[in-house]
Amino acid sequence: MKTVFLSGLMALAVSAPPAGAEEAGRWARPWDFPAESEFFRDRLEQPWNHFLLDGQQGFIAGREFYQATGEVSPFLWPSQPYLRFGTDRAWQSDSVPLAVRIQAGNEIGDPLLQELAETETEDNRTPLLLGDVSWAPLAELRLHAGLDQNDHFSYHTVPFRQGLAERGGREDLQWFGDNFPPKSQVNLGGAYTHRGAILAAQYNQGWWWTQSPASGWVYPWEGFNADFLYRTGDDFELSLVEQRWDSPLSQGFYQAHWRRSEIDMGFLGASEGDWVWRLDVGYQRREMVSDSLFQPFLEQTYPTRFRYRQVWNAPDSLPLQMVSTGSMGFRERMIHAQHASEFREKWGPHQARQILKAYYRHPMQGYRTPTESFAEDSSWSAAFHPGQQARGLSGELEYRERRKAFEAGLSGTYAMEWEAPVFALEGLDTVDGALIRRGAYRGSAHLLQNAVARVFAGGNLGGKGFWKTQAGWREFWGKNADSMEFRPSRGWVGGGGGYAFPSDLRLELDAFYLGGKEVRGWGPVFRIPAHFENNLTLEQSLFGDRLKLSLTALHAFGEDIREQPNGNPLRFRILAGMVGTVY
Amino acid sequence: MKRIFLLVCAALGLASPGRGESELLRTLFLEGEGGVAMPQGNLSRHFDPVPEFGLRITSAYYGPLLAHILVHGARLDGPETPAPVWLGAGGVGLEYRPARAWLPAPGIGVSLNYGRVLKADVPAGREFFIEDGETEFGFYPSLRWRIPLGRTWFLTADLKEDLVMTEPKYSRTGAAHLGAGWRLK
Repeated sequence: MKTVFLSGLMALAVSAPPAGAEEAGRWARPWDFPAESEFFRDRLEQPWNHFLLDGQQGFIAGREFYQATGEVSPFLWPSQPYLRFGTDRAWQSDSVPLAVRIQAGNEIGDPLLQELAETETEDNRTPLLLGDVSWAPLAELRLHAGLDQNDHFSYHTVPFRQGLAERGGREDLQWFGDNFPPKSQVNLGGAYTHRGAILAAQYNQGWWWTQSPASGWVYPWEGFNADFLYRTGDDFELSLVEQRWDSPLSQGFYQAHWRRSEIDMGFLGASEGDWVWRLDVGYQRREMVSDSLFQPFLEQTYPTRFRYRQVWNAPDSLPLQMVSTGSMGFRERMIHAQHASEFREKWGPHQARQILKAYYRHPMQGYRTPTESFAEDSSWSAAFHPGQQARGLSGELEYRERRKAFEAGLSGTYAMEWEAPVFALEGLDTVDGALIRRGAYRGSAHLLQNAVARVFAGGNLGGKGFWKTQAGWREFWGKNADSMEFRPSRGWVGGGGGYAFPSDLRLELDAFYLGGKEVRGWGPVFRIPAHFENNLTLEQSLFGDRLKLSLTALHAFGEDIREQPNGNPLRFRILAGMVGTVY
Repeated sequence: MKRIFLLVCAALGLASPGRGESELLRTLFLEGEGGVAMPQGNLSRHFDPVPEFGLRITSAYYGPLLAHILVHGARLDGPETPAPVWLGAGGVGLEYRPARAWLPAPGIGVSLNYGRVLKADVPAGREFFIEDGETEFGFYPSLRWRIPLGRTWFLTADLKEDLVMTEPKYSRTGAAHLGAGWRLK
């Protein structure tokens, strides 16, 4: 159990798991889409939180700009779906001798033969292909190889990317195909475990296109990410990271080289009172060399971070549990501290919980942020200047009644934040159909608040199925409520369910009706109308779950919805997956 | 047409409830088949009927339902297409085998289709997305007959309609195949 606490500490740095997660019913667990990739998971698990605004997920600025989740920034900008380009260590936890995973997807509506038969064809649609093999030839050795090429939600900027590539004289910015996909990489890795210690190394190489959240410009890169991990049981962890990305367009109008080197030593421990903690100390070197596009910089820091978690149970006579999590540290010349306390009470089927969270972040003098200066027009630039005293508070109250095969409840969440970043737009332009902008994200001088009320219910369908439903409403206050860049749906209602048939076929369906969303900072307010989001999955298990075949239809009903000025529509997509294991 | 695809998915799901467990792989058949693929709709003006060949593995699934996976390949050409297309398809589906052997087995499946034209075949000055290969999902209803030849071998015949979910129009191809199969277990 201690190992579980320690390994989960990073993920728990901000938000504690839902009350009673260990014994949650099938309906209470997150939506399960066996055929979808990590890329879709974020979107599908909580579609009402699209744009990532939620007290549970981290605050508006926290998630988007200050890495409130405590994760390492893999590149110049904080995490976005397309910016998760580091190596993936998930395969190290495979426990079977051989695991094979393949996934193919497509945004329905490729012209294919119609391109030859019709003079006017639709856009070419974007595919996804993932595959990996994890093999343990020896009890102590595991090897991994994989391919990850993902074009999804990227077609809108294909002309932009093709234009840049042609000017740079390059045709081979992907392992296969011709779409210049945002991610095209191969992964290799190996892990040796002995007496509870693990020695692992992994490497990926390929091409990536990153899209700046500030300017909207997309940048091509080729290079590698490598990391090394040594962990001894529950006590010590050593991690090395090396990242080298170069702009591959040698004949292009700019050159840029990005390098990140990092060493981290993690000391893990436990104390009386059910405290578990982790102290990280290390060294980090980040260097951007660029002749025109980025402002070059070299930064060497000694990141440190202390994280803790305590689960306190009251004496048996009191049905109370308290979970405290938090962290404080210094990284990339930014001081941060955050703490969350969660109280859980249980009286038979009646369960209540209260959560209080707070954070504070302060960039030190010399804090460097990516600043883009466009080579084609030196008067254009896009930058990010975080607030000097960014801080926030949130609270949540929840009550649920849980019976053997049914639960229902309601919750309310409130969050407020000072110095949330707002984009100050100075100019807009269009390049190959894509909008680009100049200006800067700046920490606002005002307070932004939002509150959410939610009701939910779920239950079993016999012994083989489940259903769940929820509805919610959120409201925003403060001067920045009308200037925040991404404003998610105010209201939503929906539900779904699943059933496992005796033929080992599983069917899952969910559908939500979401209120309108808005995107600002790209000219006139970009309004996304209220719409349905829905998904249907079939999964067939074979050979006693050793082989699973799945088919998922994403957004199977409803109109196409474009959600961002430079985005691709949310539309009908199909993912086919296969997971095979030998044990 | 999107709704039809979803109905196909629902049919694949709803066809299987019942009591007991999956019978997958309790019986297994390997079949080779060949026939003709006939482009239809707006494709018929551009592509001629062409030979099509494939392999199919069929298994018991649940009661009278059989499951199959298949691969098919053809080279589509015709008087008005700017370039011939290599088309491959993989599919997975179910068919209902009636008690009387002479009755056809109706079936339905979901396909993943891959098309490619060779750069050498593309006329000068033209450029197509499909030059580097394109994929799209589709589905296919079918009717199949099976004629036993002893305990192990059998002959097959089928009629199939492939619908690929392309834009601006769905791509439709009818096909008729004859084949021979062998019971593996």
